[in-house]
Amino acid sequence: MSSTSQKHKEFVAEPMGDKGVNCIAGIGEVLGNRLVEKGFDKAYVLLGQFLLLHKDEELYIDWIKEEIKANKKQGRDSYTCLKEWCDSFM
Amino acid sequence: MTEIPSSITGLTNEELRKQLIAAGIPPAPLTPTTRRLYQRKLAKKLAISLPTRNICEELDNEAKENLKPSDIANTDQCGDVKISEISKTKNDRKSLIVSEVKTTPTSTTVSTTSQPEVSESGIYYAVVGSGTEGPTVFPEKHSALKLLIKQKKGRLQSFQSREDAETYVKSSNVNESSTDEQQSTVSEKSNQFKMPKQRELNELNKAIENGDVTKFKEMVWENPRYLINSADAPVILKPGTRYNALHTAARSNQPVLVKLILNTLQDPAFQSLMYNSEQSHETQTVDLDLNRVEHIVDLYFNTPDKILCETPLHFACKLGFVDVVSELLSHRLCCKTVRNKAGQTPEDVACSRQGSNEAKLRIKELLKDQFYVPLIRCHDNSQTPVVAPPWNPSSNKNLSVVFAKPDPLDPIHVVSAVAGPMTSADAKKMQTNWMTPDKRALEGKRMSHIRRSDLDRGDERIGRELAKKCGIPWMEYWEFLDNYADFSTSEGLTLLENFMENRFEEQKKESQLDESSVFLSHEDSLNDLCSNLCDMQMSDSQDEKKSVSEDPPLGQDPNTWWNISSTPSGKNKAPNFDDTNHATPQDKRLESLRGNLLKARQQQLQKVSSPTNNEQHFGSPSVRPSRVMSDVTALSSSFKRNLNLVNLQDESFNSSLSSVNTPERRLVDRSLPRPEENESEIHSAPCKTSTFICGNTPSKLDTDVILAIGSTEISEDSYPHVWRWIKSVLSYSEEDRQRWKTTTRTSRAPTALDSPLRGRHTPLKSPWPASPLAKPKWKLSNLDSNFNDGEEP
Repeated sequence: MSSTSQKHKEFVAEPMGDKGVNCIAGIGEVLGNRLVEKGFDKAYVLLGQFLLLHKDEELYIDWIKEEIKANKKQGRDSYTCLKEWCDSFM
Repeated sequence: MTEIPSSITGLTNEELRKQLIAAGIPPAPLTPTTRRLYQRKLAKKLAISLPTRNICEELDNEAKENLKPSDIANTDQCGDVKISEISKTKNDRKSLIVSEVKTTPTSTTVSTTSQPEVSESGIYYAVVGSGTEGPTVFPEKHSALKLLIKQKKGRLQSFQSREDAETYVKSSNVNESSTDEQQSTVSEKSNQFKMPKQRELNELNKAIENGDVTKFKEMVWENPRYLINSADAPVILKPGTRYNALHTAARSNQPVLVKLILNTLQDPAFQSLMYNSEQSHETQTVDLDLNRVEHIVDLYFNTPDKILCETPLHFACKLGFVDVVSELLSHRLCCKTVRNKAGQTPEDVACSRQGSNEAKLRIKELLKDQFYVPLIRCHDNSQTPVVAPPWNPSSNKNLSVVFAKPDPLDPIHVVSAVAGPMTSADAKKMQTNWMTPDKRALEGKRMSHIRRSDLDRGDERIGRELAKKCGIPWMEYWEFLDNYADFSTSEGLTLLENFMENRFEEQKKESQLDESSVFLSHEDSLNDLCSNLCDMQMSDSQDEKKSVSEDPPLGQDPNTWWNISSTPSGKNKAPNFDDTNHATPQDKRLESLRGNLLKARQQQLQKVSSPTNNEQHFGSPSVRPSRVMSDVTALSSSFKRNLNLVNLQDESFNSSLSSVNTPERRLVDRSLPRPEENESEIHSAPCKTSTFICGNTPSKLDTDVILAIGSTEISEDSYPHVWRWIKSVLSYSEEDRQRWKTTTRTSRAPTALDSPLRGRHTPLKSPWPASPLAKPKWKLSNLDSNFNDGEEP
């Protein structure tokens, strides 16, 4: 991952507050809707799952692939996004 | 703990979710960790909603559960396994620790063989405190605790080797003494307020995010440390990102709170609350405090956050909050060119996150320099007022450029009205429109009629209308308030209201005095006559000045600025707009601008007023009216001499005098019957007030102010005094109002305002003010002779 997307930068720049789950990089409209259906409506809910999986890349990507049928890239994007957010805010 | 029926436990995640939604529980993620909890929640919900329905069903379920408790059993087992694992690891650790402890004693005993006391457990306890004597390292805890009890600020620390413990005792004793010294030097400016806890700061943060003004005020005024920390810097409300209060307010689109935060920080009361220990020293600390405030405000504006190094202005710009941007930018300390981590200025990031194109354009406009268009008028109205070119506070160019060259003969130029702030293009347009209004678009004909018919306020009226049309803030100078104001705003109206309240009170006292006096009517008419005569003189003097502007005005009244003679001061010090100390969201900024204008005005006019200067420069008796006041003949001759000095304009002067002559005569004629007119009208008026802005008779100033108020609605509740005054003014017919005379600037204060009032109880004295200003007296006679001179040829 040499460069990050604009969405990533924006998410990582500030506290997530009440942002929706589709503000996380790698999670667009489709995946976002699937997550909302499963109950992960806010970014912080997904962060909770991410933390429950011990911030582990492999586990998290596996989980998100299984749960909402995300592809590998989307999984990794959202993983780096949450990871970086945690690095700067926790 | 309620039992979970197997009908629920047997559900798949999908089904359970559906059931939850059906039961009115908001959807939540169902993961191994949350599943059981939601199952229980659903079960409770169902139990409540169907309390009596089929207990047997539940029993059934229970039975089923007993038969195949697969799910629960599984999870429970899982839990058990985990717990056992954890306890295992804990045990491991314990054993590890134990082993460590066990290993250490051997080494310590080796190294500390010389020591008499050897710890059995291998742990040494060091006691540190002020003035500890004797042994401070103990192998047993209870003896260490004994010593600790005796110490006031003692601390206990355990070590695994005696050496470590001793070095610790030594070093900490040294540290202690040094910190003691430091504290004694630093603690001179302590403050009784405690730094709020993070939890309390979170509360403040929330209040700001929600725009809760009352809560914010309450918290901040209770403890100023919510805004200023012990290092004279902004308090960080969000430690993760290092946001201060202004960051938060800007991020959550709260222009009101942005304003409030800045105002609070600059509030002297807040400062004294914060630094109340410094009240003893006066002047020095005021400067110091101002620097301090400025420093803090500067930090509030320009401290970057931790993540992207962005300032509050960046936040407001990128989120497209136009109101917040304008609020922030109205302060002069707000830096517009800060760059964030990516090297972008606020302008670069404008509306990059959200916001329409329109908002983007507006923000970009706001980020450009702001311009003001001032109207420059002579203090004595002897030259036509000039609309100065747009002026920008951030350019270091002083307004003096637009003033005339410092010539002792020139009258003093002062800023009489200001429109702005606006962009440079708008300002240019405003300037041209103001000077020469467009015929079609702006009713140029009517405008020029206003200008010609109203010499005192014509230009202001035009500017006022233009500014209103474009929605630009406007300010003009009102001599009776001695302040800049815009009466179409509530702020201006409050000023007027206060003024009127005072006037009415004066009037009340006066009328009480009147009741005690016996010959009321006679004196009244006499006084009114006198003041009318004065007024007549005033208009004379004004006209005279217009025609002979070289003749320095003779009066010198320290109270009113126009009365100061136009002078030899040599330098016209222009308003220095740059020394704003404090500052300012939009109107706060206007406020400070107004303050500066007033200051500049005073400075300019004070410089001018020293009589010695006058004499040195002119050496002519005409500038010493105060001394030769009584000597009418001397003055008249000097007046003539002065006229002779002005050879070139002699003719024009004579002609203008003769032209002036006729209307003046008429004025005299008309002014005589007026008192009765007024009296009768006032008494017949619905509300019997005879209180006007200038004294007890209406004047043109009243109409001017009413025009300035324009179409702004005034209710009796909010502005009772203004309302009363307007009613009484409007009770006169339009024609009457047109005929009201200008209270000339020179005469207004001493004659129209003061003399009638004083005249009531000390009749004969005060209609002719006993000040050196008593221009009317000599000019009356003087002018008469001059008129004759003028008419003769």
